[in-house]
Amino acid sequence: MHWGVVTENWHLLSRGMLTTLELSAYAIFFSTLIGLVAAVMRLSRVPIVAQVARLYVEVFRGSPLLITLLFVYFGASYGGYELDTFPAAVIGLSVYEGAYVAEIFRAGLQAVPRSQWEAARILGLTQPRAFWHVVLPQTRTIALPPLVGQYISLIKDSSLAIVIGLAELSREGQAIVDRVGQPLPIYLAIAGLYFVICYPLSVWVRVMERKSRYS
Amino acid sequence: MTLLEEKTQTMITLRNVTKSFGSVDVLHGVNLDVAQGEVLVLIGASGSGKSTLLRMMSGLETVDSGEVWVNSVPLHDKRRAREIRGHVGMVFQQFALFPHRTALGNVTLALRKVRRMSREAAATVATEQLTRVGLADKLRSYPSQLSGGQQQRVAIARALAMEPTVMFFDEATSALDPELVGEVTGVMRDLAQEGMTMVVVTHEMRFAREAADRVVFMDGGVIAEEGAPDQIFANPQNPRTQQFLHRVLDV
Amino acid sequence: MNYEWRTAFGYWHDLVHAASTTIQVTLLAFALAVVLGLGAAIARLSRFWPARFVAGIYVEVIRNTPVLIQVFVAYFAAPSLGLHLTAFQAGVAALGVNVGAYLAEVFRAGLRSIPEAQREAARVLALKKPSIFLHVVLPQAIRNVYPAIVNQFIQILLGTSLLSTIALPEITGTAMEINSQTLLSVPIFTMVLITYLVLSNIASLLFGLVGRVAFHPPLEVRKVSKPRRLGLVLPARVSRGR
Repeated sequence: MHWGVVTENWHLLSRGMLTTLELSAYAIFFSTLIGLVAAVMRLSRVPIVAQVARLYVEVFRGSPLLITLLFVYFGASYGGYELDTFPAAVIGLSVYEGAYVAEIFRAGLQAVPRSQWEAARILGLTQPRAFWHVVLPQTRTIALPPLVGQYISLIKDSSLAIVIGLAELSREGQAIVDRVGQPLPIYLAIAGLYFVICYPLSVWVRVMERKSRYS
Repeated sequence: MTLLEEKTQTMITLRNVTKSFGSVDVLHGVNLDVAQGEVLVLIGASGSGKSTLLRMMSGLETVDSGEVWVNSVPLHDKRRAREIRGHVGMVFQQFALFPHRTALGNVTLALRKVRRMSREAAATVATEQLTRVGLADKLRSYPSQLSGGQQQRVAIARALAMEPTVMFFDEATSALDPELVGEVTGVMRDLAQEGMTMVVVTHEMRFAREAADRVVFMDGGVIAEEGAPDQIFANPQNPRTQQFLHRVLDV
Repeated sequence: MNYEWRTAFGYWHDLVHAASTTIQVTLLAFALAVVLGLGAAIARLSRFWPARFVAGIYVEVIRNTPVLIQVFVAYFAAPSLGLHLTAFQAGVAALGVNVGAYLAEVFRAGLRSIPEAQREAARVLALKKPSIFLHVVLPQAIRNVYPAIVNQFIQILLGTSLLSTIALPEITGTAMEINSQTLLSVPIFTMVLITYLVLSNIASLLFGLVGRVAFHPPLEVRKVSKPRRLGLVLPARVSRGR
């Protein structure tokens, strides 16, 4: 077991980590957007809208991320479009995680007491304004811990982009192992890098949850 | 032991019992004797230490100093304290029934695991006890299907099935709707009639007045006053007792 | 278009075969996860601090690193330590260990949700600690966190797709192979998607049945719960309640 492999290939690993972080950042942004829209749609009184949103959530929560990624990547060329690995990964990851974010927002929105809506409406605020200025901020407090939890999952899930060939952290690791062997040090080092990113976030989530319990 | 000594055997003895939880002193040197067959009622405000005292006698709390003898078992001796298990019965304010088991199942669990009875023998004993508390038709019901009063009666049957020498009641009726209190205090009165040694912590002053042999008023971790119910309720000596009764009975 | 879908459909036999592998891995990994999860939960709640410490490390490390890497460690790195696992074994081990860490938190929450009075009542009745755990605490704990347990089962089921990266002939891997041979990506992956949806829904249904029969009061297991309508898209009349 030759631990020097890690230091020798550090530049490749850090490059991979940067790609992972970049991918995660984009996916966090888009999945949050998609999730918020889907949650609002889900709670709509228009049956079609609600059903579409519900279908979206059920499909992506009932199937593996891998399939979604494969669908996006191969499906694009099947339909005649050129899609690079990075954009494909962003789209696939965002759409998949968006379904989970949608459930988190839905629970958060429903947790805001009806009286808040009514109070806002009586004061003369229109629906969208009531939503944006009164309800959504309160949702944020309730939804933030599970949301960050989902982001942590997202960062870990980004490793699956390996199957469509994206050169994120896990893929770089795999390439190094293919080249020089030494799977144990390499994969442990990669695990360590993910851990260093995810663990502080996990601690933050726990702190937030503890605080909200005592508020 | 002579017949006379047997008759007046002391069931419970407390000598100089103190207890604190962290920095809070809850009991400051309590002395108490409970005779066999006696019904002792503990009253007092919250924080007076009455529940702690009860829990100590049933073996759920340890003493910091002093002696606690229940049924000749020295509860203050950590090594021997567990001998009391299964020989005293405890009824909790929140019933503490096992929600995943039927009424019958609640009563038979300890019979089968501790007394090692067969399923049939345990069922027979359990049925007897449940009938005794008036629930013969509810054997197969789950706690969620029973009213509060019924649940508490199951809890009493569960405790009685183990043939305890002493029964402890920790605010057994405090969590019940008023109209259900009677069915539980009725069972408690029957037990008292039958000669069971009972220590009862309660806010039900009517029960205390009518069923107790002796009433003990606790205040600030000590016994402030004790005596026969008539004495205490009609003619309290201690000003603190007077204050307490004034507050409680006026409600 | 039609021709392609029909050809793709011709491969359903391979997919069924692959599905059986998927199901086997799922069941075995779930069993492992339950054992590890329960053990870790008990360890984290014990008074013996080394147990708490070790279990804590297990849970935190596993939950903060990707499953994929854990699979790679089990399959590619384990031989360096003398452990030569087949893809199947590595898959079961990695998924079992991974979900075990999540189940540890689920079980821990469940065990902590039991009011202390339950244990006290059992103690007064002279029940011994093992009996109390087995007959009083555990049944209630499982009921309280049942939906979360079912959710983790489904996570394993969907997680088997990762094992395609170590060449296990499960559903996703088989589909990728068919795709590389035939390039019928959309039809094939659609079939695969439907397969996973069917499997996860069947699993939910079965667990739901068990929940209704085994627990008193009976439990409903719903994956996606019914929402309260809020009328956000259309201009609303005064909302009328559920």
